[in-house]
This record gives sequence, structure tokens and C-alpha cells, in this order.
Amino acid sequence: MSATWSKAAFPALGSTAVVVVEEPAVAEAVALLRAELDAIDRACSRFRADSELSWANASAGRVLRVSRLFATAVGVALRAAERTGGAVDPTVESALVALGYDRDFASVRAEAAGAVRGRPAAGWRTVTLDARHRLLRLDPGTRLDLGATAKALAADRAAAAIAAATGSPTLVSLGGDVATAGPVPAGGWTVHVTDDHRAGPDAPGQRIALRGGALATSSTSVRRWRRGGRTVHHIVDPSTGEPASRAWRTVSVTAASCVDANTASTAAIVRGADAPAWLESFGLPARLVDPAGAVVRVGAWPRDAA
Amino acid sequence: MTGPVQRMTRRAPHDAAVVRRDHGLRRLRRATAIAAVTAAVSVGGVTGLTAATKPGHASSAGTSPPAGTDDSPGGILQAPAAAPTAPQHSPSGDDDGQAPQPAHSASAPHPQPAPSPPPVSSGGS
Repeated sequence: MSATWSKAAFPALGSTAVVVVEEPAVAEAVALLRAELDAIDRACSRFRADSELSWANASAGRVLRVSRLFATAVGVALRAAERTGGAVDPTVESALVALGYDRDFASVRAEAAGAVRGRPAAGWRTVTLDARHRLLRLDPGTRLDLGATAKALAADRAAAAIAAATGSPTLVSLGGDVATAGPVPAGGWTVHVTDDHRAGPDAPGQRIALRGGALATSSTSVRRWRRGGRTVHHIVDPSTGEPASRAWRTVSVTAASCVDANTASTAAIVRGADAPAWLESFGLPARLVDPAGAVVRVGAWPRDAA
Repeated sequence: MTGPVQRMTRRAPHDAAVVRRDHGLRRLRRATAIAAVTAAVSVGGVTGLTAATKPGHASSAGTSPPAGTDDSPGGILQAPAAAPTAPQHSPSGDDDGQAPQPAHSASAPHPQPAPSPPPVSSGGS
């Protein structure tokens, strides 16, 4: 039996959502994906005044009983912080705002005259979560941004839900954070790894076959803006509040889940020069591109086709 | 220690238990515009704090965490079960999801290989 594939794409979460399934499943897949994205946005958006995240940020110092989804999202972010030694930290909201990323990125001014200074993150240990009872408390002054992990979490959840409901091999991509679930197609899932997920198929990069699991790419070449005569970007070093150093322009990582892949790719950008050894320590296949375009492969990442 | 609590009431028609609960919460809100309860809970070693819930947000929606997002403390970033490989088919792409056509004799039928799914891109966003 040979499958006919269907691919649907639409704007979501300030990026692009893509789902690939066998053709009969596409309508149900799109509905499930939209439902998941809507739920994640209502829970985790820092640009919606009615989101749980905005409510939590405005309620620092109090104990809040939150939804199961938001508790899961915060728990995922805290585990990412723990597993990266704080390189990926959910308390960078104030740092991003200080750098000028204080609204939906489409509305951020590309250039402004005022100088900006980094503001170190409060630190993930200022967040207390009782996951079992869904109780959350932020220390006074702590504000959350779940941008580093919530999109990947949504990709994992949506892919799992779609595959469970339809039985189809499933790929979900949210702004280039790719999660797969269900049977693996013969030959795997073909993914074009590049600097910008919006780039066309001829953009510099590499094609690989993903055989289950997930893939995420983080890059300092997107979501950039200028303040006070300098270029800043959205991947912040929590320890300084400044944009992460430019040791790597783009890092792609495969992992068991999209959350783990995205956590690792973001942490690699923040960690800089020691990122290859750090990724190797987890056995994560990865591709790192330096600012000049030189590629470093880690672990079982495949070589470029000749 | 007590404090204000705001309960949310989000209808979930498919779940009778949730509807009953929400009806109860509505009655509670009508009876007491601002209710105060003490949640005897432990949060990071701090007990007896008051828990507030946000109006309009579900407190019980959601599914089990996917693989790699479990609640286990510590842990590592998990590698994929199978490493990625170089694509086996033409790198020129098949965005319409059609399989590349193998070369074969017109008189000898060959089984069609399963078509590859259309490619996607992974990049910064």
C-alpha cells in the first residue's frame, strides 16, 4: 500500500505551523493542531493580556492554582533550565523587554535610537511549582517567558494527539521546531535544515532524513533588531541578560522530543564554544554553523550529501 | 492564612462532571463575590499559602506530557531512538508528495515504492 501525503500550513504563534499526514487524516490533523495551538497561546503567550502567563507575571509573590496545561508548560521550562544548568531559563522576560522585545515580534520596531542594556534573569530557582497540585508561585520581581520551550511542547503534544487520533504517520512543525509521532515513513521524514525556517528549498543548509523523534533549530540570524546602534537578537544569555554570544549562528539538534531538541539547540547557542562537547555528552546528534558558515557535526549527525 | 480566590468557570459540554463542577462554582461565586479559602498545600517547602485561580481558564484541561517532558526530577536530554540519516531520494525535493519514478522496463511491472512525505524546513524562527 502506498500512501498519499498531505501537507497543510498556516500562520500561528507568530510563525508558521505545518502538519504532514496521510491524506485522509489531514482535516482532523489540522483541527487538532489548531486546538492545541489555541490552548498553548491562551496559556503561555506573553503578548496576550488574558493569558495565564500574563496573569502569573502580574501576580508574583502569590500562590496561584493554574491549569494543567500551564503547569505542564512551566514544569517543562523548569526542567529545561535544570538540564542546561540555567542556560535556558524561563525568567528572561525582563531581559527581553529591556532589550526592546516588549511586544509581538511583528510589532517590534526594527531600529530605535535608545541604547539598551542587558538585565540578568531572576533565575529559574525563583519559580516554585507544585506540579501535582498545579500551584505556582513566582518570587516578587520574577517574570516568565516560555518562548524557549512552549512552542516545542505544543509540537510534541500536537503530533502525539494527531497520531493517536488518526493512526497516521505525523509530522508537526512550528516555526521549524519539528516533532514526529506514529509510524515512521519508509525513508524517514525529509527535513531541510537551514538558518531560517521560512527560507526556500534552495537556501543554504542540509537535507536529512529524520527517523522518528524530533528536530529543532535555533538561530541568531532571525528575530533581530537594532537598538542604540547595535544589533540584538532573541536568544538571551540568562546570566547577563544580553543576547547570547555569536559563537554559533545556527544550531540544529535531534532528540527524543521536540522539547529536548529545542532545549539543547537553544542552550548550545548560549553556551557558545563548548556546545559541541556538551551536546556530545548527551549523545545528541547536532549540526552547528558558525558565523562564517563553517559546519561542525556532533555525534551521529549525517554528512552532507556529496 | 487566607486571601481572595477567583474561580473560573469554563464550560466543557462533553464532560458532565466538569459541567456539574462549574455549576457548583458559579453558585459559589454568586453566593460570595469574593471567596476566601485556605489551601493547605506544600509549595517548595512553604506550607499554608493561599492559592488563587484565574477566571476563565480551565484548571483540568490537558493530556499526559509527551515523551521527554515527564515530571521526573533531574534527568537528561534524551537522544532520538534512531539517528538522522542522509535522505535516500533525490535532494531536489518532492513538495507534492509524489514518489520519484524508478527506471524500469515497460513490460515488467515493478511495485511502486511508497512515496516520500513532502519535505519541511527547520530553521530559526
